[in-house]
Amino acid sequence: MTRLHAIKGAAVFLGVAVAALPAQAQMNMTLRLYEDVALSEIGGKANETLRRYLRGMATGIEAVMVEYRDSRQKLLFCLPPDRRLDMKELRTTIDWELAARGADWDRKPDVLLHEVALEAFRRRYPCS
Amino acid sequence: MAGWRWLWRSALGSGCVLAIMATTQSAVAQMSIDEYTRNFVAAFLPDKGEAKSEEAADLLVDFHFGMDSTLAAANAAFVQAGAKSAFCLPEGRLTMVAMTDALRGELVKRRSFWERRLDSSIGLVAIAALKTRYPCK
Repeated sequence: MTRLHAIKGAAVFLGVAVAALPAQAQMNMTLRLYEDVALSEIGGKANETLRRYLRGMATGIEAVMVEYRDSRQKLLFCLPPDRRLDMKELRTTIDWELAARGADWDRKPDVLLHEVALEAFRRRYPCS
Repeated sequence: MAGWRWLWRSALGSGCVLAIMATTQSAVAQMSIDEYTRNFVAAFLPDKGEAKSEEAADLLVDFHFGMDSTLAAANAAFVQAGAKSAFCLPEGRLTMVAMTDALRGELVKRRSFWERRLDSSIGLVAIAALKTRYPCK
């Protein structure tokens, strides 16, 4: 039995695992939470949860970008050909946005990190 | 914390924090189909005699929290920028249960196709799954 075949009956387990999480465990990665965790990382203590979350974000943004690029649709941003939308690029772009417009984002205290990231990519890599 | 936040952003502007980050982070690529399914099996379908891996389950849950919310938001942002939507989510939201169920359906339905692309991003499977599960009418 191949691994993909084995998944046939198993995805429900992940759904059950998620459903079993307490409501407060449903993660809303706000900008404030991201910055708090990023600050604690300066000492070298990596936060694995944040890394995994950001990896999911990078995967999601790239998948949507590839879908619309391949179907020749209008794009939200245009990543230079020598760049890959990996976790490092994601963090660099979010931090670039915060350095430039952090005060503006402070007016939206509950803004979600992916909203900041998408706006950051749009500003940093406009399609000209 | 406000003072620390100001200091942090000032340092971001100078580029020195990015330099620190760059030394502590590798450019981790998107999660491949192979890695996703490997973790899935370790978390929920271990070999006989082996315990289910809590670490793999945690990884998948954290990853899904990031990917699922971003897929919906990124799709909406691209559509707002002028693209024709590839999929249409009910109420514009995507739960992890719905995403994993759609992923399972896609992987099972087109197993031989994805088995030849195990190095591809799981995000591509997710998009294909959403297009099938939530087509725009």
